Amino acid sequence: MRIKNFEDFWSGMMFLAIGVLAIWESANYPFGTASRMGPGYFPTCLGGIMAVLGSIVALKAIESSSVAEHAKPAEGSPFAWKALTMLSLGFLLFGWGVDRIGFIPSLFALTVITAAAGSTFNIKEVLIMSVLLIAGSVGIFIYGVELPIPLFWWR
Amino acid sequence: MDFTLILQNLGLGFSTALSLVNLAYCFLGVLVGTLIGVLPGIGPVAAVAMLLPLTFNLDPVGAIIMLSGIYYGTQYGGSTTAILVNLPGESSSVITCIDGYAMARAGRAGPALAIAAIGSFFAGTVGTILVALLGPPLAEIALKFGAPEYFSLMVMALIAASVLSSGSMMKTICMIVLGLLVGIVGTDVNSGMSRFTFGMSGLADGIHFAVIAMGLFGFAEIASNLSDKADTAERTVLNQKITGLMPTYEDMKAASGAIFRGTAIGAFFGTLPGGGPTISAFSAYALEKKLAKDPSRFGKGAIEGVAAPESANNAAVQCAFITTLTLGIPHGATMALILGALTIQGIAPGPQVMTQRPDLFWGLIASMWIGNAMLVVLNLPLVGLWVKLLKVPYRFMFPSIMVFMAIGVYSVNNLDLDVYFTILFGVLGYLFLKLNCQPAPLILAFVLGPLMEENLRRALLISRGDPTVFFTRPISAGFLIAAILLLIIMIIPSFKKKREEAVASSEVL
Amino acid sequence: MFMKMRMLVLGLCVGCSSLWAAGVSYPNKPIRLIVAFPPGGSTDIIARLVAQRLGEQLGQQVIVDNRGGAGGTLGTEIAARAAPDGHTLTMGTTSTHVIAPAAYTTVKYDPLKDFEPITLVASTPYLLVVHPGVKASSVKEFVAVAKSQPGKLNYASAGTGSTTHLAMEMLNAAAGMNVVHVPYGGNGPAGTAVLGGQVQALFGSMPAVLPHAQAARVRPLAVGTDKRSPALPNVPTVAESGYPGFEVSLWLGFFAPKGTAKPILARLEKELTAIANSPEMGALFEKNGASPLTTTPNELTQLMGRELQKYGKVIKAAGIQLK
Repeated sequence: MRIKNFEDFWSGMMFLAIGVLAIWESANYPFGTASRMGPGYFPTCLGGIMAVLGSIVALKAIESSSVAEHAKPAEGSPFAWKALTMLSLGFLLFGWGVDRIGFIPSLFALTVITAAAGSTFNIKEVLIMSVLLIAGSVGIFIYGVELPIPLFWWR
Repeated sequence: MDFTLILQNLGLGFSTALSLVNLAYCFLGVLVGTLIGVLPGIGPVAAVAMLLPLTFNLDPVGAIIMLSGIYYGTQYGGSTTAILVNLPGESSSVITCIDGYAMARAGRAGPALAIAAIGSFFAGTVGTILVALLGPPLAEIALKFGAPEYFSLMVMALIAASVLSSGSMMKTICMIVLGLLVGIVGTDVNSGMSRFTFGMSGLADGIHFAVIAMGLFGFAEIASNLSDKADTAERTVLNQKITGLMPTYEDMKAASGAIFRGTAIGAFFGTLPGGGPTISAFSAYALEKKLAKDPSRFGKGAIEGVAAPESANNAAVQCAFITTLTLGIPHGATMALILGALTIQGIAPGPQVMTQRPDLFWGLIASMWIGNAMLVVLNLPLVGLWVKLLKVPYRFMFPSIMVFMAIGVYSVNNLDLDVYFTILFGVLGYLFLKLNCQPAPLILAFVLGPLMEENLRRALLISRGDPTVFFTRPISAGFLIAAILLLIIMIIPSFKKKREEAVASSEVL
Repeated sequence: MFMKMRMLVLGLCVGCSSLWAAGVSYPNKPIRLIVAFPPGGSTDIIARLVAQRLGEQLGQQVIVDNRGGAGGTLGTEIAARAAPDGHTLTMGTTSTHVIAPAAYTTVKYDPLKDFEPITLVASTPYLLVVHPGVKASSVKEFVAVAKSQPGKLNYASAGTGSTTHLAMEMLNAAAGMNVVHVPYGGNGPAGTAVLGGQVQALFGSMPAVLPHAQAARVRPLAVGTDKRSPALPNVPTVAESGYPGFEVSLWLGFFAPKGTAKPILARLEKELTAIANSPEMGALFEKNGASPLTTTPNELTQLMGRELQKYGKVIKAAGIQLK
C-alpha cells in the first residue's frame, strides 16, 4: 500500500478529523428528531458526511495507482514554516497589544515582525516602512474613520 | 403599469437627483464608499454607521442619496482589493478573487478592474430600470418566500457551487460541508443555544466574514508567496509584465455575454432578502464555467470569471433596494441603517414612501444610476494608479497588507479574538493551498449555511414536522427540481470524463 | 476604629474625586459610549442621537463604540469592567440589564451591582399585530381564534429570549392559549414573515412594525404599554383588552461602571434628563417609535428590580434557558 496522491490523502485525513471533531462536539447539544430538530441535529449530520467523504478521499488517494503522474510528493515550494510563524506572531502581538499597549506600539511590532517573514530584511528599510505605515494608519483609521482605539498605553 | 407615468416619475427623479447639491452628496458618498471599501474589514455597515451623524443635518433626499452612494461605493471598493491583492471586501466578491487575482498576477489587472467597472455599471443600469419599472410587483414575489423556499434555494445554490470545483468534486463537497460547519459557530437562532463556541463569548455571534476571508485569502496567499523559491528582494506580485490597462476588443467580446447573464442572475436573486449578492455572484460564475468552451481557463484568469460575478453582485445590490423601499424590509445591516437614517429624517419607510414622498423615491432611483455612472468615471482613471501599486516590491507590499488586514479585522468588533482567529484561518488557508482545496465554496457555504439550517428547522416547525412542505409549495419544489437537474448535469459528464479531468485537475488552481 | 479609618479614607477619596470632578476637569477627554448592539438597530440610533447632543453639552466628543454580540451581553460586560472615571458609559436596555441576566446562564455581570444607573432616556412600546388573513380585530377575538384551533397558529419573534418572544409568552400564559413560537434572526425578518403570512402574529417593537400597520399590511391589535401610543390612538392596550397589569416595553438608559464618582453621575443625569426632555429630541424619538422617559437613579434601580422579577417568572414558566 502506497500513498499515491499526497494532496488528496492529507486533505482526506484533515476532513475526517474535522468531521469526527464536529460529531464529538455536537454530542453536547440536544439532537431532537427529524421532524423537530434540536440544535445538535444539523451539525452531527454534517460531521458524519464530512467524516465519510474525508475517508473516501483519503482511501482513493491510497489505491488510485492508475494516475501515475498525479503523484507528486511535496516538491513545489517548501512548507512555509518561517513565514507562517512570523506572520502569526505579528498578528498575535497586534491582537494582544492593540487595546493594552495601544495602536502605535502594536502596529510597530506587527510591521517589524511580519517584515522578518520575508527573505530579505534590511533593518533601516523596515524601520522607515514601519514609520510610514504607522503614520498612514493613524491618519486613515484614527483621524479618518475614527476607530475607538487608544494610540498608546496611556490612551 | 402606466408607462407615461413612469417616465413622468423618472423625470421628477432626475430633476431631484441632478440638483447641484444632491449631485455633490452622491459624489461624496460614492467617493467615501470607494475609499472605505478598499480598506479590508471596514465594510459598508461600518462606513454608513460612521457617516450617519453627518446626515442628521441634511435634507432627507440628500441624506439617502449620500448613504446609498456609500453603500454601492463600498461594494465596488471591495472588488478592487479582491482583484489586486486577493482580499475580498464582501462575501459577494469572494468569487472575483479567483480569476481577478489570477489576471492581476498575469499583468492584466487593468482589464480586470475595467471590466468589473463596466460590468457593474451595466448591471447597475439594468437594476435601476428594474427597480423603477417592476419594484412593487417584484417585492410581492419576495414576500412569497417562506422558510421552505429559502431552504430549497440554498440547496440549489450550494449544488451550483460544486460546479466551481476545478479539482476533485469530492474535495469541493468537503469544503462546502466545512463551510456549513464553520457557519454553525455561534448562537443557534432556533434554540438560542451557543454551538461550537468552546466557552468563548466572543464567538456567540459566530465568526465574522472578514475573519475568514482575510485568513483564507489574504493571510494564506502571503504565506504562500513568501515560501516561493523565486523570492528575491526585487520581486513583485506579478508573474508577467503588465500588458495594457484597458480591455481589448477580444476581452470585451468574451465578457459581454457574461455581463448580460450575470446581470440577469443578479437581478433575480437580489430581490430576495438574504444572501442575494453572494448567491448571484457564485451562480453567475458557475454558469459561465458551464457554458465556456474551455472551462479549464477558469481559475487562471478568464475575463468572464470577473465580468459575470461582478455584474451579478452589482445587479443584486441595486435590486436590494426594491424590498427596502417598497416594503420597508431591510436586506441586511446596511439597508437597516439606511432605513434608520430615513426614520431619523421623519420618513417612515414602507409602501407609502412612493406615494407620500415621490421626490425621495424617484430621486433615489435616479441617483442610483447617477451614482453608478460616477463610480465608473471615478474608477476607470484610478485603474492606472491601482495597477502601478502592483509594481511595488513585494517586501514592502506584504507588511502593508498585513497592517491593513490586522486593523480591519480588529475594527469589526474591536475584539482581539477576531485577530487570533484570522491567524487560525490563515494557517488553515495555507494548508488548503498546499492540499489543493479551493476555499471559495467554503465561503459560500459559510454565508448560506446558517440561513439553510435556520430555514430548514423553521419550515419543519411551522409545518409541525411534515417534510412534504418542500415539495408541495411550488416555488420550493421548483428550486429542488433545478437542484436535482444540476446534480444530473454535473454527474454525467464527470463519469464520462473522469480520467481526463483527474489529470487536468492536478494542474488547475 | 478600623471602620472609622475606612470611612475616613472613603470620604477623602469621594471628596478628592468630587473636587476633581467639580473642577473643569470632567470630561477631560472624549467619552466612550458603549452600545452593546451592532450599528443600525434602534438602540444604536437612539444612542447616536443622544450621544451627539451630550457631546455638545459636555464640550467633549461622545464616541459611540459598538460592541455587539451575544444578545448585548458582550458589550455590557466590557462596560461593567471599564474604569469608573466617567469616560466610559453604556446604553443599557431591558435586554442587557434585565432579560439577558435572567435568561442567560453565562452572563458575567450583575445588572444591579456592577453599574451606577444614571437615568433612562427613552422607551419603545411593543405592538401586537396579526396578518390580515387572521379573522381577529381585537385581542379577545385573537385569543378565541387561537383557542378554537389549538396549536395551529404561530407567532414570530426577533429571537429566542428577545423581548418580542417574552411578550408573547406572557400573553400566552395570561390568556391560557398556545400560539407556537417561531424564532427569527431579528426584527426585520420577523416582520417580513408576518407580512408574507408565513406566521400569523408578532408582538413586534413599534419602529419595526408601525409602518406596516399604517400601510394596512398587518392589523394592529394592541400595544403592550400601560398607556395607548400617540402614534396609534385607536389601538387599545393589552391591559385594556382584558389582561390588566400586562406591561411590556423596551427602555433605554445610561449606565456608568460601579464606583463612578457621584458628582460626575449627577452632572450626567442633569444633562441627559435635559436632553431627553427637550422638544427636539422628543420629536426625533417619536420618529423612531420611541418616547422620552427619564428617571432618577433610584427609580431606575427599583424598576430594574421589579422587571428582573417579572421577566424571571416568564422565563422560568416558558422554560427558556440560554447558554
